[in-house]
Amino acid sequence: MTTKHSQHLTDIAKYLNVPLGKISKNDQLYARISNNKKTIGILNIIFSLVKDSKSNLGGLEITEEALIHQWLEFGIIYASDGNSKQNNQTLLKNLNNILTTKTYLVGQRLTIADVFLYYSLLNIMETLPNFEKENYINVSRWFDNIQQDPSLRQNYNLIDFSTIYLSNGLGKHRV
Amino acid sequence: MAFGDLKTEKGVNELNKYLEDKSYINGYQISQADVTTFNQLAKAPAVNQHHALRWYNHIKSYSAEELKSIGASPLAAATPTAASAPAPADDDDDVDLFASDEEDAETARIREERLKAYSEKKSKKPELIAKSSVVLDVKPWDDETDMKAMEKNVRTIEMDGLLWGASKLVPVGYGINKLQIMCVVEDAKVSIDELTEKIQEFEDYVQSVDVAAFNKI
Repeated sequence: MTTKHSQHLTDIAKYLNVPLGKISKNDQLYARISNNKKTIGILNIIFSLVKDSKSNLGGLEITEEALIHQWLEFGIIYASDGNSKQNNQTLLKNLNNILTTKTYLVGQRLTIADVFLYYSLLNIMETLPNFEKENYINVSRWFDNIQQDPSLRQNYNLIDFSTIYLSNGLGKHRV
Repeated sequence: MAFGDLKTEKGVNELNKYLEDKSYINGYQISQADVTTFNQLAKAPAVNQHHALRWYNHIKSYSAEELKSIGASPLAAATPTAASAPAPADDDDDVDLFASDEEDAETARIREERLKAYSEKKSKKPELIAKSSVVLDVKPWDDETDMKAMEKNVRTIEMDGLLWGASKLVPVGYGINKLQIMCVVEDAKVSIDELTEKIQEFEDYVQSVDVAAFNKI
């Protein structure tokens, strides 16, 4: 079982344009040392990165922050490990339901929750066959929207969702 | 982008279909096209037109200033008929209109409680629980001791707050190896003395246990 969390942290730091500092992993625990300050645990590290970047991706008030917290936990627990296929199906299904009513995970704008989940889901989405992408249409729509930001996508491939048009006859509705 | 007459059910259905795999009408951010389409709607889409409704609520969240900053015109005076009630509209079932208020109060209360719990949790432990990473040297009796079985036995020890990590065999001479095993313990829950005693209870294999390294995490 390999976790790619250190990679996610590197990507996030790059996206936020802040120095990552020194990341070490002791057994199961990640630690970040930056400006002589030590932060332990992935969640705390992500929040510290956001804080360093002075962006508002971390939530503007406590409700948002709490929700973001929950999403990050969700990502860490369900999306990051070398999951079984079945786990991934459950994950996508749940996410798909939740995203029915949402354009972004928290509030009505991009937050670090979207960013982290994008990196966490990259592998899963990349290997997902097209007809499955269609099954999880809300996840696909959300993912497609998130991945358009080049500074977020960095060197990762743009995942293609466009075949969706062909298979459900949407094309004919476009005027 | 045109969807027929958006004042009609059919038009909204087309919009709904169009937005199935899109967050915005044009491209990947809000634009004038969203505003124009929004303003053409007579009322909020129905609940079963969930793609359109999701988009509608998202667009509605933009303030006039935000729209101005992207060079779009403001939203039409918040479509009075449905602005604050994007929900039932023409949904079939006989909703008890008076119950909804109570429910809102209830959900609000629950949210308050959870938020409180969250801030309490946050103030209580800004960092993680104190933990230590420990490397133990487990020495066998002689070169005939089955090291694999020994390791297996050691790993059977389960304690709250104890997590076994990697291990390796280190030669100590005369063909004898010792087992070096790592573990992470929560300081408050696991005493190292107790742990070493427990390991020494596997008398058939273990001669002695030493703490080789001890680091606070």
